[in-house]
Formats: sequence, C-alpha cells, structure tokens
Amino acid sequence: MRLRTILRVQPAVWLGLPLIVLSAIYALGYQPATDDPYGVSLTAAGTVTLGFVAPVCAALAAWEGGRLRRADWWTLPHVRPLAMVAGALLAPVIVAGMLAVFAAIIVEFAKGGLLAVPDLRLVVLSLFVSGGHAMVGFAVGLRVPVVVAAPSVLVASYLWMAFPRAMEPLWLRHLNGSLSSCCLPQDDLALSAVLAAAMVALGMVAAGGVLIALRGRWRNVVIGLGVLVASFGLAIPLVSGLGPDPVVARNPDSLVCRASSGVTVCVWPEHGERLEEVAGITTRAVERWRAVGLSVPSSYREARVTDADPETSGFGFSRHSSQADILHALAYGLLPAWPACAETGAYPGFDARDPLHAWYDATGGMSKADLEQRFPPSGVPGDPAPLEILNRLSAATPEERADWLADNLAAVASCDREPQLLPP
Amino acid sequence: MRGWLRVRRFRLTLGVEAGIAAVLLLAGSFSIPMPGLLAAQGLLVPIALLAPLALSTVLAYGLTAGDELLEAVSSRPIAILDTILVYGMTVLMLVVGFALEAGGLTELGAAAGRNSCGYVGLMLLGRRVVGGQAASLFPAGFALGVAAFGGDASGNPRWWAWLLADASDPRSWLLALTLFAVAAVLRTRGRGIQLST
Repeated sequence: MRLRTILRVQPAVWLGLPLIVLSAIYALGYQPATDDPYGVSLTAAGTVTLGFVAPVCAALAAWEGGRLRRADWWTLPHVRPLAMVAGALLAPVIVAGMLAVFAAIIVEFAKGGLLAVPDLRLVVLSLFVSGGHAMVGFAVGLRVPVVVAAPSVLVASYLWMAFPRAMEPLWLRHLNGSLSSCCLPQDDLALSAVLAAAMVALGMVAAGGVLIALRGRWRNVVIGLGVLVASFGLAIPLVSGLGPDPVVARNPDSLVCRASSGVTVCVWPEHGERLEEVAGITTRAVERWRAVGLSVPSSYREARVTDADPETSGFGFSRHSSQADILHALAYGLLPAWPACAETGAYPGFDARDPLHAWYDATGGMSKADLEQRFPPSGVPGDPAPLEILNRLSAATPEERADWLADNLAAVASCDREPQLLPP
Repeated sequence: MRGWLRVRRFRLTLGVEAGIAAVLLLAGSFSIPMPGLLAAQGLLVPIALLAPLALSTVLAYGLTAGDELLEAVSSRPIAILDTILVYGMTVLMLVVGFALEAGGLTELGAAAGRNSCGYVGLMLLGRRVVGGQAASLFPAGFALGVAAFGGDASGNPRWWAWLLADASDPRSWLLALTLFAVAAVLRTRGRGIQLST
C-alpha cells in the first residue's frame, strides 16, 4: 500500500501520536521495580503500557478488518495472498503500538539515567503481544460488524490485560505478557514467563489466522479456539511454578567484587560506582562485630545466598541508600533465614528478629539517631522495644550478652523455641 | 413496522438487556483492579458498571443495520421511531436496574441504569462526531479512559468519573443524564444525527 494511502485511510496513523504521548505520560508516573539503572527492570517498566496499547491495537485492527468487511473485499477474487493483505493493514497498527511501548521504555531509561539497549526479550515479547491482539481484533472485525467488533475487542483486550492481576493463582498474570513487576537487581527475568506469554500471544496470532483463512460459519471459530486453548496448555506449565513476579535469581557471575582487610564485598554492576564506599562500610562493620566477639562471615554479596555457605552473607541496597541503610542491610543479612515452618505455623521467634537486627546495627556502628529512626518505641504496653532491650544489654556483662544472643539466634532459626527478649 | 424492528435488532437488544440484568445479578459488586495512568493506585471497576456498554453497542449496531438511502426516503418517520427505540430501551434498562436494586437483588442496579443513560448518550454523540460505525467506541473508550485516568492518588474516582460513582452521588446522575439529554436535543434539532452513516 502506498504511504499516501496509509496516511489517508488508516486511523492507526492518526491515533499513533496520541497513543505515544499517553504511553510516555504513563511511563513518567510509573514506578519501576527498582530505582537502580537496571536495564531489564526499566524495559519491563516500559512494557507496562501494553495494558492499554494492546487493546488499542486490537480496536484499530478491528476497524481495518471492518473496512474490508464493509467493502465485501474478502470474498471477492484477489491477486495478493491473504497474509499480504492482512499484513499490509496490520503493519501500521503494530508499528504504532510498538512506538508507544518504545516511548515508554525510553522515558523509563531517561528517568533511570541509563543509556543502553533495552532488554530484547521484552521488546520481542511486546511485539508478539501487540501482534496477537491486533490479529484477533482484525479477525473479529472481518467477521462481525465493526460497530460491535471494535468496542468488544477493546474492552475484552483491556480485561485480558488487567484482569489476571486480580486472579489467583498469582502466576496467571504472567500469561498476558505484562511482566512489568520484573526485576530487582538481584533478579533476572524468568525466561519461562517470557516463553509462556509469547506462546499465548502466538496462539492469538494463530487463532486470528485461522478465523481469517478458513471459511465456514462455526468451524473456524472452533478451530481458532482450539488453537488458543492449546497455546494456554503449553504456556501454563511454564509459569505455574512462578510467584507473583516473573523472576529468577540473577547470574552471580556479573557481580563486581572488591577485597580488602580480609573482607570481600560483591555488588551488582548497577551499584559498581558505590563499591568502594560499600566495601569501606562493610569492612568497618565487620571489624566492629568481630571486636565484640561476634562470628561473622568474611564475604558479603548482593546476590541471594543460602545458609549452606556460612562464610557468605547476602544483602541488598539501592543507589539512593544511605550509609546507614547499607549497614542496616548488612546487619539484616546476619540474621538466620526465615524457617520454612514459619510459613505454615506459629513462629514465636519472630519477636526476637527486630531486637537482634538492632543489636547487629548498634554493634556495627550505627548512630543512635539512625537506630531510633529504624526502631521506634513499641506501641504495645509491656512489649519491650528493641532499643530498650539494647539499653538493658549495654548494662549486662559480656557473658550475659553472649547468652542473650545465642538464645535468640536459636529462637529465630526455629519455630519451637520462645525467645528471651530481655537480658538478665 | 415489523421489518423496521427486525432491522434495528429489537430482539437482540432485548436479549442484551436481559444479559445485562443477569450480569447485575450474578456479578454483584465484583470488581477488577484497573491499572491507573496518572494515579498511584489503580481503580476498582465493578463489572456490573461496565456491562451496560453492551446496550450502547447493540443500539449502535441496530442504528447502522438499515439501508440509509431507503430510510431517507421512507414514508414512515424513521428518525422519530429510532429515537423512541433508543430512549425507550435505555429507560427500560434504567427501570430494570432500579427494580433489581429495590428488590435487594443487587447493590449496583441504579448505578448500572445511570451508566446506561451515560453510555447511550455518549454513543449518540459519537454518531454525530465520528459517524455510526465508530460511535460505539465513544462509550467504550470513555469507560477505559476512566479506568486509566479516573482515579485520584488514593484510588478513588475523580469527580468527572461518573460511571464509577456511587448511585447516591447526584453529580454523577447530572453528568450522565446531561449526556443523555444533550444527545436527545441534537437528535431533534437542526440536521439531527445521521441515522446510519
């Protein structure tokens, strides 16, 4: 189709600009999963606009299908193959949608201060999702009067993009391709979620293709629905093991590390410019902890760590974190991991987590003001606040402090032991 | 007359009204969290308040289903009959909504009836602005626009988001009925709204 004709007859061209502006406005107000300049997270944040871009693509495609339907063109003899005709009509629609998603990604990257190539997995997935919605919209527009088809696919597509967030199981939300809750720096996008969403989107493309290509009043609808159901059948096993976020642990090979005074600190490349500072904070804290007799690891990594390696502790921070925040995160990493039994039953040791955290903060060198900010007085009468416990500990003997620490560390590591919050 | 009713999809319209009533009964106040564009939180949009979009869509379909040329030279007052049909079906939906709520069968009956008026008003305005084929996109687009932009920072509907307001909010009725009335005036004044574009 000639460019002049496209500009004259295709609403996607006229509505593309407002759609791009809307998308950029959305991205301005949207909060990514992390403040850090992490490309995967910023790209994912940009693709959140699919929530309204895909429905608009579907409605515009239904309009294009409706134009062919009104002209009765589809049933007339034609030289060009159906795929070429459909492609020529859908290309401007999909391009408009993708430009809108790109606008949002660019805004997110600009907000994050990152100059890099967006995550290609998410870009390609966005293309599939826009294409899937457009294809179904086009097919419905060909079969149903446009006055019904356009609003129907607009609303149905919007519901599909928005509704799974309100449904359980939580992994359902990954099927529509809205993977915007990815990722903290220690996470990577789960490839299984991308594949599942791509499979559903390609299922929509195939179902739309069946509706367009096959003749018959109901046979093509049945086959199209069968294709769609099959795509869900293939996609669901891929995401059924995921939680609310489409993430997996990030490959720790990309950590950047620094070792000094026997302490190794590793952070993600997004925090590389603060590595020196973080290493200094960590080294000083480790020296203080060891000075009061605490046995602490010599390696600190931003990646997720397991209890299997007692010489390594995990922590996390953002680029806006203060020095006290980083110390607070290091101290938190020294607490025993949540026991699995806490997910299903009573966990009396929970009450000791804050006092222990405050103890590690204080012994690691946190100022009184920072401690008061993080551990406010208890609102429950008779319930000792962490800082009150710290005051009592400061008056106790070293042996009493060691006993208090050992008792409470044991309590938080299990579900069958009451903590001893107040030192003797 | 029978032919005109058939062309205007009268039975289908009645079926859609019955379907909307069924949604009101079955969905209750079940809501979907819609992502907000300019709000920190999304809005909770009850399905029952979106269901009347089906009425504006089917009415728009009926109005475009006839032969424009034949109707233009018809001896019957097609424009008046169309107006009676559109407004009659909308008022019927309003009455059904009130009746369901008065009978304690749903909490959103009156609000759904109000939304029917607003959606149909928007659809008729859409016929005036963009023609009959795209008219049904006006109410659907507005509904999704409200879902996207209509929430304030605390996740409550803004003053103009009449379709999500409580039925006790007089401003929402004023806005919805104004749309309905303005569309009626435009249908009867000047050239009037084109019956089928």
